[in-house]
Amino acid sequence: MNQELYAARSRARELFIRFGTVLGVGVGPKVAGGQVTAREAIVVLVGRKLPARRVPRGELIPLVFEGFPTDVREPVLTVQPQRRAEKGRPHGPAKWCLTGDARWIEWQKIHELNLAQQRSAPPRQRPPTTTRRRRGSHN
Amino acid sequence: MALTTEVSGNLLLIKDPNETLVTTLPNGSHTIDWVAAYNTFRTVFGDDYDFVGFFIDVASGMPNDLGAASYPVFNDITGIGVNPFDNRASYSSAKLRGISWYGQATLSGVVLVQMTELLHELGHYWLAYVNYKDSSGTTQTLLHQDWVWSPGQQNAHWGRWPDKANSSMGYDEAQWIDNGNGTWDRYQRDDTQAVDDAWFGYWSLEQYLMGLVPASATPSNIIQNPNPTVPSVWPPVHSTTGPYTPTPNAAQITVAMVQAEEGVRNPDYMSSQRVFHQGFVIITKSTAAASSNPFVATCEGWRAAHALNFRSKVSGQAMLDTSLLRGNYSDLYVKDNDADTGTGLSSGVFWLSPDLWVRNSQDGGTTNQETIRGQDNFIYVRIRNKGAQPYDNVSVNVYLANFDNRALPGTQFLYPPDWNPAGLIGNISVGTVPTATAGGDGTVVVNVRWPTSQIPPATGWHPCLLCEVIPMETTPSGLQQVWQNKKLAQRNITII
Repeated sequence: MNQELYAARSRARELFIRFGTVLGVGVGPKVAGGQVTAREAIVVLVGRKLPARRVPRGELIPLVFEGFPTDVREPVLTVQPQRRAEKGRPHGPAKWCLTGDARWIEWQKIHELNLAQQRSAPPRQRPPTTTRRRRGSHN
Repeated sequence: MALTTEVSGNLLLIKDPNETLVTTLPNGSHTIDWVAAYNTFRTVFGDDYDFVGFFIDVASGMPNDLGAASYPVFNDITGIGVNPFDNRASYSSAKLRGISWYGQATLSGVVLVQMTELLHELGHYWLAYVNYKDSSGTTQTLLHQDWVWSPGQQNAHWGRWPDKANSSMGYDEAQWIDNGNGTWDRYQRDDTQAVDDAWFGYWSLEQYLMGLVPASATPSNIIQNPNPTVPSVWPPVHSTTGPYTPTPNAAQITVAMVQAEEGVRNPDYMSSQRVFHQGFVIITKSTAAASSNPFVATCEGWRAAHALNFRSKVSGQAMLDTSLLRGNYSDLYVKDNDADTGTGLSSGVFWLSPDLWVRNSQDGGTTNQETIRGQDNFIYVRIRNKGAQPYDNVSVNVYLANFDNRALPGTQFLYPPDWNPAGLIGNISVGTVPTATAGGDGTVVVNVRWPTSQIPPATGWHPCLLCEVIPMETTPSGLQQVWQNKKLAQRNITII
C-alpha cells in the first residue's frame, strides 16, 4: 500500500472531519463523469455535495492535498434494486456490497446526526419503502 | 414507541417501530445509526464479540435499499492492505472488530441472504484490499481490475480479471477454468442459486491474508488479462464462454509479490486469532413477539448455517461461534481429568476426559468401552455447569481426529484446526444445562451415534475423539491446546 497516500489521508482526516458536512475521509480512485481520472486520491465523503460558493467559509476541500488529488463526493450507502434488472448491464452478486464507502464513514458522526434528528423531529412517518424512491430518478 | 429488544435463542431483536435508528443524510439519502444499534446490542449481551451482524427486516417496513456492507472498527493486523487503527472507544468496546449488515431486498421486499454474502461481509475484515508489486517494483492493481460497477467499490473487492478461484470477494461471480493449453474458459456462477452458493468460499490467497495458512500454502495465481474477451453483457448463468487467451503481459503473481507491496502478514498464521465470536441482530419495525415474526426463523437458519459454512470454507482453520453469550457462559465446561474444575487451564492427563466416552450401544453407561469396529458405537458427552444459573442454547460437536495426521506435527492437537469439520461425527443440541448444587456441578449427558462407516481403519490411524462445547470461550483466541480451554475435551481411544 502507498504509505504516503495513507499518511496523507490520516492528516486529511484530522483536518476535514471537523467540517460539518464531512462524513468520512478515505482513499480510492478519483472519479469524474463516471470515469476514473486518478487511481490514487483522497476521497472526502460529504453529506451533500455543494457548489463551491455555498460551502461554509473555511470548509472548502482543496483540489489537491499533499500532492494527491481529492475526490469530494456523497457516499453510496443505499442501492437501487432495479439496477439488478437492467438488461445488458454486467450485474454483480445479489449482495451489492457497499463496503467501499462504508469502511471510510465516521459512524460516530452518523450517530451524532441521528441524535440531533431525534431531538429535533417527531417520530418519522415515512411512506412505505416499497414506494419510496423506487420510481424516481435513481433508476 | 421507544426502541425495545427481545432475545430469541441466538438472535437479538431490536424493535424500532418509529425507525429511530434510521438516519437521514443531508442529501436525503439514509442509513442506519450503527453505533446506536451496536450499543443497544452491547447493553443486552456485553462486549464479547469480534463481529456483530445485522439482518434488516424489510418486510416490517425497514428501508429496503440498505444493501449489504461491513466496516472495521479496530484493526491490529498489518500486511492486509489496511493500516492499524482503533475506533473502539466510540463503541465503548474493548473487543469489537467489525460491523456488518444484510438488507439486500428483492423488488417485492423479500430480503435474500446467501451464504456467500455472509462469507463476503465477514471476509471484508481482512479482504480484499491488497495490491502487489511486479518484478520491476511497480505497484499493480490488477487484482481489482477491470472494474465496471460502482466506482467506490473497486478498492475493497476483487475485479473481474483475476483468477480468484472460489472467492466470495468479487462481484463478477465468474469461475476461470484453465484449459491447460494457454487458454481459459469462463463459467458464470450466480450465488442466488444453491449450487453456486455452496461453491463460493475463500481463495487460498485470502486464507493467507486471514492468517489461517502460511504463505507457502498459497500457490502462484495466474491473473487473467482477457481484454477484450470479457463481454460487456454478462453471459447467462451456468454458461461457459471461451476459450480466452490471456494477453502476453498477463501476470503471474505470488504471495511474495503481495508481501512486497503490503508487507508480511503480522501476526502470522501461528500467532493469528482463530476463534471468533459474531453476534447476530435483527432490526425490525415490528413490535410483535419473535415467535410470531417469520423473519426470525429465517434469520436463525442463516445464522446457524453461516457458522458451519464458514468453518467448512476455511477447512477448520478457524472457528466462528455465532451463539449469543449469556453472562454465565464461562460456567460451562467439560473436564480434562477428574481434578479439572473448569478454571480454564488444567494440568495433568488431558487425553482421557471423564466427560467424553464411548459405549458400544446406546445403554447410558458412564464408563468408556473400547470401540468395536464393524458396528455402530455411541459417543457420550457430559456438559457441566459450575454456576448458579442454568444455561440454554448449548450445543456440542464431536470429532474424530487422527493423531498421526494432526494439524501441526510435534505438538498435541491444536484447536481449532484439529476439530476439523471433515472429522465431525455429530452435532448435539443440548438444550438447558442445569445449575450446580451442593452436590456438585449441574450436568447434562448427551450422546451421538458413531456410525460404523465413520470408524477408521485399523492401520494408519491413531484415533482420538475431540469435542467442543458451544458457547465457546472468548479466550484464548489463537491456536490452543485442549488443556487451555475449558470447552474442549479429548479422549484417546482403542478400536478392536
